[in-house]
Amino acid sequence: MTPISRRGFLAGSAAAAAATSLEAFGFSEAEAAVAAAVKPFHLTNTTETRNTCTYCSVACGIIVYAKGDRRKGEKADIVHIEGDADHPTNRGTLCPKGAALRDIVKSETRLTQPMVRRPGSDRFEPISWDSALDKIARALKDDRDANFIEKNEAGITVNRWLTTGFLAASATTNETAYATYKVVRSTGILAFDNQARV
Amino acid sequence: MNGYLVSEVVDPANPSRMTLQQGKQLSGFGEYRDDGGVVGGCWVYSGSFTEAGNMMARRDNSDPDGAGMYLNWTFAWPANRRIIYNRASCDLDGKPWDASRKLLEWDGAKWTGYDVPDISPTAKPRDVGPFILNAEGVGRLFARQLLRDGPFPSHYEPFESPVANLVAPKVRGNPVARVFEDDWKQLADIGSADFPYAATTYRLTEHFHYWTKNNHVNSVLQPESFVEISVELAEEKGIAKGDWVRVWSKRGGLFAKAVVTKRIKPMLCDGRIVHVVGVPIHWGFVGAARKGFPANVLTPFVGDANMETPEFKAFMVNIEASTGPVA
Amino acid sequence: MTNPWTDIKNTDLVVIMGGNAAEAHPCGFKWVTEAKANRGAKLIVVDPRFTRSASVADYYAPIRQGTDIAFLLGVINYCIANDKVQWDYTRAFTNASYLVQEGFEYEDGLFTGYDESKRDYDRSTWEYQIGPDGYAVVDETLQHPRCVWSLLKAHVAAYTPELVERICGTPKDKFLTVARMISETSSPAKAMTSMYALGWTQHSKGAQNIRTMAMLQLILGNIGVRGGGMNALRGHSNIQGLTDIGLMSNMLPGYMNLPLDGETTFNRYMSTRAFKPLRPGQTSYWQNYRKFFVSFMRAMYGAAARADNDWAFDYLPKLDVANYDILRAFELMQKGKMNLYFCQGFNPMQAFPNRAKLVEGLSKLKMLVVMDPLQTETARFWENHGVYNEVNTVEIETEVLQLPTTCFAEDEGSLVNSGRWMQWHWPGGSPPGSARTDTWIMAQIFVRLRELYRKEGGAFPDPILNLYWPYADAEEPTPEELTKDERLPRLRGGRSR
Repeated sequence: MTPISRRGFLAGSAAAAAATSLEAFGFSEAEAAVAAAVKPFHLTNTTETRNTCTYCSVACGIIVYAKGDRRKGEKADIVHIEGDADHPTNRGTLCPKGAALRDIVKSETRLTQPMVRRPGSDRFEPISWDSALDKIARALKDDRDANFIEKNEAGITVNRWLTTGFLAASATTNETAYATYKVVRSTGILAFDNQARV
Repeated sequence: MNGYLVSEVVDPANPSRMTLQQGKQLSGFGEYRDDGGVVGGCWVYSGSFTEAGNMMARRDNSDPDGAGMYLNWTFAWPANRRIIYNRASCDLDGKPWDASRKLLEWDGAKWTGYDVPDISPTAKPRDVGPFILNAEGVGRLFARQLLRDGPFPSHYEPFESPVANLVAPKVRGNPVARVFEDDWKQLADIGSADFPYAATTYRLTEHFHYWTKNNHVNSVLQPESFVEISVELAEEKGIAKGDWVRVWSKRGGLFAKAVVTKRIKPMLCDGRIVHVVGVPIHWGFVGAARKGFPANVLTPFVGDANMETPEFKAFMVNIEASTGPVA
Repeated sequence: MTNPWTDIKNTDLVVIMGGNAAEAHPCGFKWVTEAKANRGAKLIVVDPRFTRSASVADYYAPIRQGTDIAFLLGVINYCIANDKVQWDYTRAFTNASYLVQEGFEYEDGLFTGYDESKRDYDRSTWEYQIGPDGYAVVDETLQHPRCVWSLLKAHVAAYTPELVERICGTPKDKFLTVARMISETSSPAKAMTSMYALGWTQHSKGAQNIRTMAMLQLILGNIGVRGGGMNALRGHSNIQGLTDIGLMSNMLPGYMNLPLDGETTFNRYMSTRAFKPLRPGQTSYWQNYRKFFVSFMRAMYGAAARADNDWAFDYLPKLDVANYDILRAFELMQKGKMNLYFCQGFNPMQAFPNRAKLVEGLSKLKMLVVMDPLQTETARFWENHGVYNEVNTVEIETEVLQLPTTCFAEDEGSLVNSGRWMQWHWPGGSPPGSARTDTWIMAQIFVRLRELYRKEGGAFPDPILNLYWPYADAEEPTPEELTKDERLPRLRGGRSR
């Protein structure tokens, strides 16, 4: 082991206190220096949350580690994701996709604000949530009013709407799926589908 | 979605609002009612969130006798049943077919064992059939009118195929699958010399559909699109490992690197050699990976006769050595 | 899946055909490894490619893609010819003994009733003979020429090992080895599990691919037992849940379905769905169809669903065709018949077939709304990327709204896995920027649309105005409120209770 000059290395960092107390327990100067050089464990002071891998339907249990606690109303920044060793199916293991989950959460191509691309334009522009949602509601209302079919040619009540379609997700929760179902079905949309077919 | 018991009183001042009095979450779909007394959006989920709490949040991973059922880990629909049709694990008298692999057993008065019985717990063994999703109570070798393309399966070739159907030479594809008029024109003829190779699409273990190309780690592991061909086809077409190739179908084409592999071998089908071209699906023009072509520039617009799932796994292409895309 | 992932350890034989679990479902495949290591189970892989699943298999056989039915009918033929059938199970637990109507036949690849101009069958003869007591007629000896077993034997007889080799390209000796290994599980003391995925579904006869294996598993007595089953390895984390909740063009939650045009009243609708037992004393989930339907309509329309208006039956749209599936939706789009389209966490420009047709369709929309945590090609279909997306941007008039959503790590709720486990999860992190949950977005759209209908009236506003929406904050229901169909008191931070 290469001796390290403890004095030169520590220079008053928080680790100094730890190193000093190690010395008090009888560690040699070199050992204390090595201990002090070890980066503090990066999951110290993180909140742990149980979650499920977002990819395939094996549904491996995962633990999400974050700085900050959402349950206390704090902003929580995810620093690490690993397999849940208590989970009966995966028992802590993850595949190459699951092992890289943190990087999909932190992807540079995550969307962070609503955007609009206007007809003919070659770019997205920011738009407020309110404007985007009002635009959508207006477009739905106008298209539905113009194209809703109350009765078919035989005069039978059919109450369907065929000029708007909705493709639902495949990795949202049941609760989101249910809210989506209620909203979409109540409008009479029939072109309603999800990833199950592909 | 669990099911919620409501009073049948409607607020007369505001008929759009249901008066929810003294409601209770149901313990299972057996408590559903047809008189309007239950609000329940999805009966198969009944029992998942009861008055005893959120069954889906349970985290007891005990597994008595190592049976593999984990009955106290979250919740399984329907009714927390882990193996459906599990009554069929026993013989006619309710004895397990294989005692070393017992799942349920009739104890003379009720069904007991490692799973929630898929039958009334007190239904006598010979009284009720195990396949209770079916009106017969038995599994169907003959599917009656329930599938559009036949009560028995029959061999049909894909809509694009290197060979005609040997069992029924006049039948093209699945005879009842829906094909839109314009899409017929975009299907290669059976045995077409222009599209002689049988292509299929698939996924790689490092990527998830079109998501993980947004992930730096996965994009490093598999950065670039490729197609896989056999050593024999590569020799025939003058393609070396790592070369650019162009692959095209009657609907479009792509450029990719060639992976020449022994994992794919030509097959001999009725005297004709069939070469397979393998096309992983994962690339596009956004994300952290290199730009590339998704497999669906090639695939045909036709689906399963019952479910309309597209025929991504079997279609015809051609392939040639190439200098790669000109940006 | 009929069985959970963890049950695969109980098997004696794993057949991976129409899938590649070692690469696509690695942590589930671990249970195959457990069965091999601890029980001496064998693994067979049948695939056009020598996949990583094949590389750890005990036996691999090649097959030309799209010919799985011929292969499996060949295996059924082998089992019948070699008396490798679990007879007690087949007699008692399948419809082998049921008599089929006179008139049903199969010839030259077609069943009775084919109409080429409609590309459809008149299926009326595809039924059992019904006796005077109203039940199906059976012959427990399996000798009657019209019993299902006799018809099945005749149907599969053509699929000899020689024919399988000619169709599938699987050498005869390899086919016979696979058939023999599978047939051994006809013993009541042996179980086989079938693990399949998109390699069976993504075909023009996908449902029949799976059915053929299900039939084989039935005659071997491998359904309902530990280590057995038909196990669909589903691809997305909650694709099972979205299917259960019926987010498909023709479905209602819980595997009920929408009415067709001809089903003008609730009673008419029920007349074809009410459960009629085909054997004495048989029970079924579906004897409760009316209860499930009424309770669903109460969850949809609350007090507006009443006995005296057929539980708001007319609020449901009626289908004039079997499906408005994704292919039909893009066909309509390409023909200029679709104006608005929503993609929630879905990238159809990559995921659906014939991309050229898809881009043509998207270019004809008035508005495309994309909700996603990530950038997608679909949201940017109008961007020119040279050879990778050769489009004329200025000519594309579609307005695109791209809405940022949370991802799995930032939301709460349940997901259903392949084995039907409903697992609740909690949010571990805060969403980036102003990303919001999909539930919030859907609630916002709904509340605004409802408000427009309240103010302006319009086409049949009743189902929108009366949608049951009891949540404490109409603009953001909590997951617990949604799953319980209840209004719940809120805690700080918006969480229920």
